This record gives sequence, C-alpha cells and structure tokens, in this order.
Amino acid sequence: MKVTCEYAKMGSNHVFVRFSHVIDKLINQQIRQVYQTLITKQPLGFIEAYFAYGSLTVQFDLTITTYKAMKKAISLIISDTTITKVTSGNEVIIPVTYNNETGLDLDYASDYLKLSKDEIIDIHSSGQYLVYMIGFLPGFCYLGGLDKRIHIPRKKTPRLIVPKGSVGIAASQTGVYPLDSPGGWQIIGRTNLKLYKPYDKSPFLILPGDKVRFIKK
Amino acid sequence: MIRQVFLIKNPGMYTLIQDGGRIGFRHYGVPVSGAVDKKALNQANYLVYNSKDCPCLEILSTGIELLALDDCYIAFTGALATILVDQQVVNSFQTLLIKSGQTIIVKALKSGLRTYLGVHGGFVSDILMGSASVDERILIGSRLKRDDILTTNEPLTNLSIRTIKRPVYDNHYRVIIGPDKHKFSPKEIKKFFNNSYKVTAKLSRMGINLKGNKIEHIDGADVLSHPVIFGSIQILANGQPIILLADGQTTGGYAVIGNICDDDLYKLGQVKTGDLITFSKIKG
Repeated sequence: MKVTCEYAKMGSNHVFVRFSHVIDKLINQQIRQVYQTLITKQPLGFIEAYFAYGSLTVQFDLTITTYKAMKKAISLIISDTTITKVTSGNEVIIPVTYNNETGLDLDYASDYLKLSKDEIIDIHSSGQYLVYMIGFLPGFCYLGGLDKRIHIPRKKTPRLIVPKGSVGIAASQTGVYPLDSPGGWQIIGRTNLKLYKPYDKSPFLILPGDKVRFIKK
Repeated sequence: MIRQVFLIKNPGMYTLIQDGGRIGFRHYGVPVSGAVDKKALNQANYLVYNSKDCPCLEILSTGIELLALDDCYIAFTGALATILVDQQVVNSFQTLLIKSGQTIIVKALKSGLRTYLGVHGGFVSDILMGSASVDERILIGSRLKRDDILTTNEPLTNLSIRTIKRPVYDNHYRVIIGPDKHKFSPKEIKKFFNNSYKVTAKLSRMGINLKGNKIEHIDGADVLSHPVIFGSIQILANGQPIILLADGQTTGGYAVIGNICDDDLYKLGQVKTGDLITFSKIKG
C-alpha cells in the first residue's frame, strides 16, 4: 500500500506529515511503524515524534538540522515502510461497571440509539478495539472498531468534569478518561483500572497498537 | 550537598517549579510543560551560572514571600516586577547575593505576568519523565505552599555579578501557516493577519483564548485529531482563536490556522487579559 503524504512545517521546528484525513486501520498501522523506525533510527537532529489517527509530527533540533533535511529523512522512512496487514500488540482487558451511576449518559444513549441499556452494554463489551493513538490527556487511548449500532455523536456541551475511569463513546470511537477532566464523550460506564500512573516506573498501561476488550464487572 | 535556601512564607498566587520541559512523552499524551517564557528561564539560569534549562520558580503575578535560610545567589527575570529584599528595591536581570535571614517579596508588576526566580545550582525537585516541571492537572507535582522549603545542591561559591538586558515583549507574533490551511479561504486567512485579537480572561498555562473578528471555516471547525504543539493557533467552532501553550494537549481536533515561530514563543508567557495581539505571516 502506497500513500501520498502531505508535509507541512509546524512552527519552526516540527515536521507535520498527514497521511490521511480519515480513520484507516492500515494507514494508522503504517504511521505506527514509521514512528517505531524514527525512534529507532533517530535521524540527525531528531528530538521526538508523536502521532494521531492519520498524521505524525516530528520535532527536530534547529541547531543541528533543517526542516528540509528532516522532511527528507522522514520521507525515506515512509517510502521504506509498506504495510500489507494490521498486526497488533498486547491485549488489555478493562473491567467496567456499567450502570446508571457510572454510566452518566446510559439513559440518553438508550433513547438516542433506540436500544435498551443492556443491549448497549452487551454490544460495547463484546467488541475488540484497536488503540489507534494516545492524545488529549496522558494515557487517553483512542479506540476504534466500535459497533455501528452504538455510534452516537459527542455531547453538544462538554461536561466540565468527567470522572476518572469513565468509559465513553463518541462517533466510531470509544475510550477511557484516565483523569478527571472536561470532556464531551457519552459516558456509559466506569473502570477502576488505572491507565495512567505518573509516579510508576511504567506510567502507561496501554500503548498504540494494543488491543482492548471491555468486560462487564 | 543539599542546602536549604528558602522557606516559603507566602506562595503568592500560583508558583510552580518549571524547567526546560518534558521531552519525549507527547507520544503518551503528556504535554511538554516547562517554563512558558523560556527566554526568561534561560536568562535566569545564565545569571546564576546554571545550565540553561535548570529548574526555576515560575511566579504568576505577585504576593510570593520567601525567607532565605542560607546565603545564595539568585536572579529574577521575565515580568517587569518590583522586587523587595528586606524592604529595599533590587534589580531584576542581575545576579543578586542574598544573605541568610533576608526576606524577598515580589510586590508589584509593571509589565508582564510571570516572574522567574533562578538560584545557583537550580532548585532540587522530583524529576518525573525527565523533567522537574509541575503540571497539577495531570497529577505531576504541586504548586508551592506556605512553609515549603526549597533546596539546592550547590555549595556557596563566589560568583561575579552578571547582568542581562530584558528582552522585547511586544505582542506581535510571526506565524507559519498550516497544517489546516485547507479549512480557511484566502479571505479568512487575510482577515486573521489584518486584525488584532484581545486576550480574554480564559488564560492559563494550557492556552490563551482570544476574541476578535470571527474567522469562518470551510465546512466546519473539526479536523481529524492531529498533533498540536506549543504555539499552535486553533480556530474554535465559534470562529475565535486559541493559542496553545506549554501545558496544552498533545493532539487536537480543531483546525489549526498556523503555528507561532519558535523565536516568538517566549513572549506568550507574559501575555495578560486585555492585551491586544497581532500576527504576521512568515514562510518560516
């Protein structure tokens, strides 16, 4: 699979690469692979890289290299990275308490989706989800692969505080809030599993490329 | 050798330990953090003979009061502040020798918002993910509190006094357009550069919300979430810009009209509510 990438200079010292404007499993896999190669090869002047569904950004040291040179180094890595199938990392099981107390939007979702709360819970807890990216908050995983029957738009007005551990759905995505935070996803349950432990040796439980399953507690 | 140098008599409005920032963790959704006014951080460290990104105090506004527990060399940079040592006004942008028992107060600000205090040797602090920078929102460290004791691990040596010029803190920012240029017509991009924007009260280490002439998007404000950086200017659904700062989120779904060039970022640390900001386009 070959994709045409679009490059943009992001500020003075970041190369932005857009692979796609839409969520695509194979493209995301390619981006994750390009990221791995970048951090292994560490092109001259490389500082750090991070990515989202369909794009990647590389910070470089302006005193050592240039935008042009870093762009070239990245494009060479991209053209050497071909993906034919999606492979995945670890599987992480997240136990979830789904009820009206933890699932702040279960009633609303049930009305909107014209499904019973039990049906929503069964559908959500029977899927296997791919971690496309981490962003927004430390350890906030964007999980794709949500069953079409429970696609629901995010809230028009975000909540000021979504409690830590809340499990949310929004459009084709699902995810867990690792911290108390403002947020607009529809909340259907809560987990006690800590996805982000800043003082631990390994602060992050889940990484991009992992598979996630939710089980009813 | 750990030396206790200051006792916090009054933490002021909001005082944090900040250094050069957290490098290499944005992949996990962790912001870069670090001093918002990096030039002030670097200058403070220069004045006290530290490496440029050593941990300093980032002091928001006024009110902080410190009691020196030992002799030490310090320096103030950043905001144009009235600083008193035992009731006597002292110079910022200069190395100061403080004697044990003296009291330091940041009394008033003539210009700017954040004052940086550096100490020879740097402030000793927990290093988490490679940085001493505090970000309470993501549970990393906490602001200074009354009765906290600050330490350094440098013995007292004789330093000669250094001075440095205060940088220019105009509110003009050079912007490199993109990566979501496709979301704005040339007319709207022109509008963005031809108007000034007022800094609202929504102002934190995460971002600065601006208010001014509305910028219209082509086909809505949303883009597929992508990486954003310190200095990214997003145009929100209501047509108003927000500039992301050091504690800003790592990825965002609002269209980014452009990013402020690296050399101008430091000025964002001194922006206050009510200030007027202008932008100009550069190729970068």
